[in-house]
Amino acid sequence: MSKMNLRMNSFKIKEVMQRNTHVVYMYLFLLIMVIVAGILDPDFLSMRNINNLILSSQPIFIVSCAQMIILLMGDIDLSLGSIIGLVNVVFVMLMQPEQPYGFVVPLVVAIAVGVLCGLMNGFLITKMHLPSVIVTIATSNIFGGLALFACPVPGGKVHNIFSRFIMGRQGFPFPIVLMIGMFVAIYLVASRSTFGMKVRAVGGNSFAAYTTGISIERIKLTAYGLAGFLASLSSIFLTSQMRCADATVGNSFTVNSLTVAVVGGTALSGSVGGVSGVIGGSFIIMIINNILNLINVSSFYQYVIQGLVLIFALAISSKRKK
Amino acid sequence: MELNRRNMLLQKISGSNYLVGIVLMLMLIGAQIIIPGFLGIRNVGNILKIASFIGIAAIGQTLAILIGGIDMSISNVVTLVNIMTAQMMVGDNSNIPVTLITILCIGAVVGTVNAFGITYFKIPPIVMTIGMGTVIQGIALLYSKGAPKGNAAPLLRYLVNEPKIFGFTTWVVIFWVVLAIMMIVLLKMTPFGRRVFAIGNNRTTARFSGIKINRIIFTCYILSGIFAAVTGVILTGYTGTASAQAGAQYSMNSIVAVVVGGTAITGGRGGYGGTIVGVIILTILNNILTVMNIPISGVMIAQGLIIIVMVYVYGKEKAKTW
Repeated sequence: MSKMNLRMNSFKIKEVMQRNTHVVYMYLFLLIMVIVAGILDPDFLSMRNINNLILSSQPIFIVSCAQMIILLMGDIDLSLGSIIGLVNVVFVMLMQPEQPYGFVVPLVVAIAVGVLCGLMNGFLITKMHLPSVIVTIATSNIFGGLALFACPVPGGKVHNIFSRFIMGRQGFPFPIVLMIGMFVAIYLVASRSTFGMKVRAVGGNSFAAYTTGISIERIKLTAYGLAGFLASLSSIFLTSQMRCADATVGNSFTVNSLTVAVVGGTALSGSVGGVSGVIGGSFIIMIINNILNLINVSSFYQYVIQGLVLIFALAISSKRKK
Repeated sequence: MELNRRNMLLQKISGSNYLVGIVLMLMLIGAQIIIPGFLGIRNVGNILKIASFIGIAAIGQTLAILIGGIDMSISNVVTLVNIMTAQMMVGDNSNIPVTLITILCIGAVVGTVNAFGITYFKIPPIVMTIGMGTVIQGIALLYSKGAPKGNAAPLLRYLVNEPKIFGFTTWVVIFWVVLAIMMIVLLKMTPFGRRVFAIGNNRTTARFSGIKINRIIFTCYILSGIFAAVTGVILTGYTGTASAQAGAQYSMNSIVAVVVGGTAITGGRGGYGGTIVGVIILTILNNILTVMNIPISGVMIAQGLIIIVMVYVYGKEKAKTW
């Protein structure tokens, strides 16, 4: 394809807001949540708490970016949570906490595992022509089984300096840098690159995209591999937080990544969505959990709230499309 | 083949591929080799009893998949019903009627909400049922306050566990056989069944031929919820108590059974006859893996692989070209 001018949309405030009404409403909702949280806990807007918020929403943010890319393509990835668990297990098991650079090899291998998992998804969906829903359900079981097999009970130790660095406690504010960097990177990839354009084209109308010369197979394969890569990054961050291996750690991330992506304005039918919504969505989810903790609500309500948020966000999203 | 009524009847009932029968034969032979005495009458009765749990849950899953959807909330409904049944019966036979009516209503309500989101809000079934399942999971935890308690009524335990029928099987198996016959007749010989297949094959064509799509989708998901609830009751009778993990495998197992049984994951082809064979194959497989001391992780991997292989094998002729 010739190099098209991808900056076809204007950046005027009013027009941006008109194009992204869902995201605007979502940020209004986020503002309300922040105000409510601030009332319940005056320390909510302190630097320390904001830092905690960034730390806790980082993993879900990264994995929801992965889910967003897959959703843009019109597919779904239900194995992201299991990839997180598998990468976590591989990372910790290979780790040599005593050696100064004992995290390098495990890091490379863990990321490679994540990418391989994603590529496996992509391969089954493209080369074997299987629907993405059933494939990712099946691979979710396979990856989860592998993780459980390697690590039946939680345990293990992580490299101290490395995890402190990831958490921003080693002098360099890594988490905020990572979040900003990830935001910019995903924005460029999903909304301002040829790849992103092709992904959205496949999500909009895959046959039309095929007739314009886009290789559907290559795009899907790359997208799923990218999703696996992002899931592994999310898992590395999560591992540095948890400081141990737990095969089931990723279980809630699958549903949560869907919730965050949908709340953030990504349509399940494909082609619509962006990282500005996803980051807002991840903050909303985290702050809702925060608020539930602040008002001393039983943690069991979190399941109910999460499910209801997902269903409501989907309902609003579908009504908006009409 | 002679076009007489007997052959046509057999053809109608079997519906799906003969491949399933071959796999079943192989499983039985393999099981007998690995576990001597497997085909003894007492063990067969036991296998049938265990199979009936998945079998009844798979009725709903078959319906949901046949109309082109899926039901991931079955696990959570089974767990909720298990917890509620134990807590409401508290080992007293007089509580049975109230308990049964309550849980049947719960199953129907879950199915109604699922169908409502799927039809009116056009939410994809996979996400709608996952979201609803999460809500049910939260409700189950809240109801039991994290500590499931209570016992099943003695009559229920007797009906499920005592091998008195024909000397080797229990009332539950008879119950399953009756339901199975009703299901097969419903799907293959009634207008309702034909409409289900029509909707699964091509929803637009079905709508244009006057079929009331929404009504049929509602029926299928409500039935799925009810049968999941029935499975929960029977499971309570089997174990005697409640557990937060009671229903954990049922969504996955029912999907595997339906897929192995030859029903197309996209809907419109297959039937409950195949699912029955799939259930038995899955039960035998689980049995073999348990006897070989393979941990739950191995079972998960095996199920994932089976789904992929079966969907690929059955779907080969319908592969798209791009």
